[in-house]
Amino acid sequence: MYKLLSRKLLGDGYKSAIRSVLVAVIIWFSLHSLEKTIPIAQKVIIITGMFYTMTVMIQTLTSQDNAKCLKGLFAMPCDEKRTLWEYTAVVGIYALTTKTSLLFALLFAFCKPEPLQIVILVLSVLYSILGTIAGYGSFKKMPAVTGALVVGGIAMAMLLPEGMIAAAVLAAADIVAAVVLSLQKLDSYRVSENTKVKAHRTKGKPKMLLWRYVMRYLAAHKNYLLSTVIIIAFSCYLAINFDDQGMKMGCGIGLAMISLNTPMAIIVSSNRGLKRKLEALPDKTPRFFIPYGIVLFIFYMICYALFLTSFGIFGGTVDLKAFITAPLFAAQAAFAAALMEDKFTITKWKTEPDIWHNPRKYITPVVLTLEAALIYMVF
Amino acid sequence: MGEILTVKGLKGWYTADKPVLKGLDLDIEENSVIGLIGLNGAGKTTLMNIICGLHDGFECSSVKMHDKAVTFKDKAFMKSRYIVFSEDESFGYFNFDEYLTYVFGCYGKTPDDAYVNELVERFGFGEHRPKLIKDLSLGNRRKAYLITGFALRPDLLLLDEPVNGLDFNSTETLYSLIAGYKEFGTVLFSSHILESVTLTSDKVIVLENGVITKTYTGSDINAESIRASLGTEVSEGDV
Repeated sequence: MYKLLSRKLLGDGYKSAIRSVLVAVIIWFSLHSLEKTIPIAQKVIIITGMFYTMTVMIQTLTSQDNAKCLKGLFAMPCDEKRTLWEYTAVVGIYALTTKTSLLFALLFAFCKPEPLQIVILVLSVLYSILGTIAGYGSFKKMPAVTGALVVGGIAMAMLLPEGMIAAAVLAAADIVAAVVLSLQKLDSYRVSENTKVKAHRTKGKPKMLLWRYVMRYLAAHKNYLLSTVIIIAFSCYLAINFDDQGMKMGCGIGLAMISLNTPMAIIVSSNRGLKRKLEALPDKTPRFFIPYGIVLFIFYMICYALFLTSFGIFGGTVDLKAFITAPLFAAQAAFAAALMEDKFTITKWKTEPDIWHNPRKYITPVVLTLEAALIYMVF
Repeated sequence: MGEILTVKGLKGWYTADKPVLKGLDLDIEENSVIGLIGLNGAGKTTLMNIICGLHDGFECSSVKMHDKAVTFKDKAFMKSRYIVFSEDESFGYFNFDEYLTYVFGCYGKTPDDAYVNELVERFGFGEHRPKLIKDLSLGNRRKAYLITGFALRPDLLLLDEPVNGLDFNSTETLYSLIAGYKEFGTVLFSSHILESVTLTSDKVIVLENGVITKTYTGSDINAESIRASLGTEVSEGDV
């Protein structure tokens, strides 16, 4: 089981995992050699690490692509407990080596953490891994347990003081998550395909085709909506932190961060059949990619409205600049996503998380962050 | 009868050292039905993909549509052909009518509702019409794409192994539609089912190892001679 799963997620002989770690080391070394220091609060590093790892874990656990592989594996006779821990190990190593390592390379390139802070970070990421898998397994039969693990994670990320107390609380939380995980049954980790078939009757000539298509795509992937809400919440938290530190561009950076929301921007990359059909049909740009860009623009505007409302409620400064920047950023993010899906479709992927975390996704947020800095410095 | 498409010296490959198509000449006549047969790996799907502009690993000395030089990605050529793939999972979040409307929009055409309804009835697809394409079975999904193709009536309709996954009644309907398509244009279709080509085609092209080894027309199109040219891959049960 471990070998089969690790071959799929981590590559033959851990090749894919090793390559990702090496890339992270190279990125860290290159950025670190610039000798620039940016003050990043420990809390920001922990929250970023925890939520990012958690998101990758959820995406991997719910991946339809992995479901096909797991369907066969879970059907084989096995020692359930051992298999569950092996599954946890593979998914955890996958999240850490191929995804979280890159994030930490970026964060640690510009700050020098104390040994205790590293211990706290390791414990918090461990909670993300154990807590997410335990919470995922409990979700159907004991949603209250899942809720407690999520609330516990958020509370620790937000409220824990620095120092030994944080380490002790996180270590205790890791043990609790491990105990909950050890009580799970392997069956809870099957990803079932949706078998409900709903009729979508069309009256007259159907209109707003791409809007319907994208909305159904979102409705079919509830986890995409959840990840959108998480990104908005994370952007809001980050922006408020920047605001509190006296950095006026917090709101702009929050708006830029929302364009990290990947699922909406990979609708073609994630479906090779759709990519081929679009290439085979005439007029793909006016018939598909322009309406797709418009739908994305509306979607980003809704996200920005939610962000600005939350940001204002929690004491952030929402000024005229924010209202001018929001539609500009939404238009750019939508245009960039539609353009990249048309001209730079991600085709060489093995698992769905490979698309979600393709380096392509960082281009727009980086450009928008730079623009936000420029706008808030100049005006 | 003139040619809608002529291709000369077509070579196609996935890796340069292993060509799949090795310099074939193809003449596709207007208002005709052309069956393309060959063993697995003969290059049928590659040929279809090249014609549809989906495969870049190719070269040829000339491509002409109605005696006028074109490329496979010219807009005019793209608007004159439509393909039904052997495996297709595209536009899963559309229902049939939405997919049909989208495709007709791409070709700048308006569907003939009466004809679409007739096709839906003939394929026994009525109850599946409001379902999302992703929720349809393989056979019903194939029907959705086939109905769209026949309703669109392009000058050149390409069907890659269209019989796969269809029930008996739908297969009969398909044969009848293919044979009758000459009224509107040309059908070029690949198949492993010998019956499908012998019952419908005006011309049968045998593709072997990337070249056209035989072409049958008129009364020469019969199961025995075609089976003999292919060896035993085409089973008796298929005829």
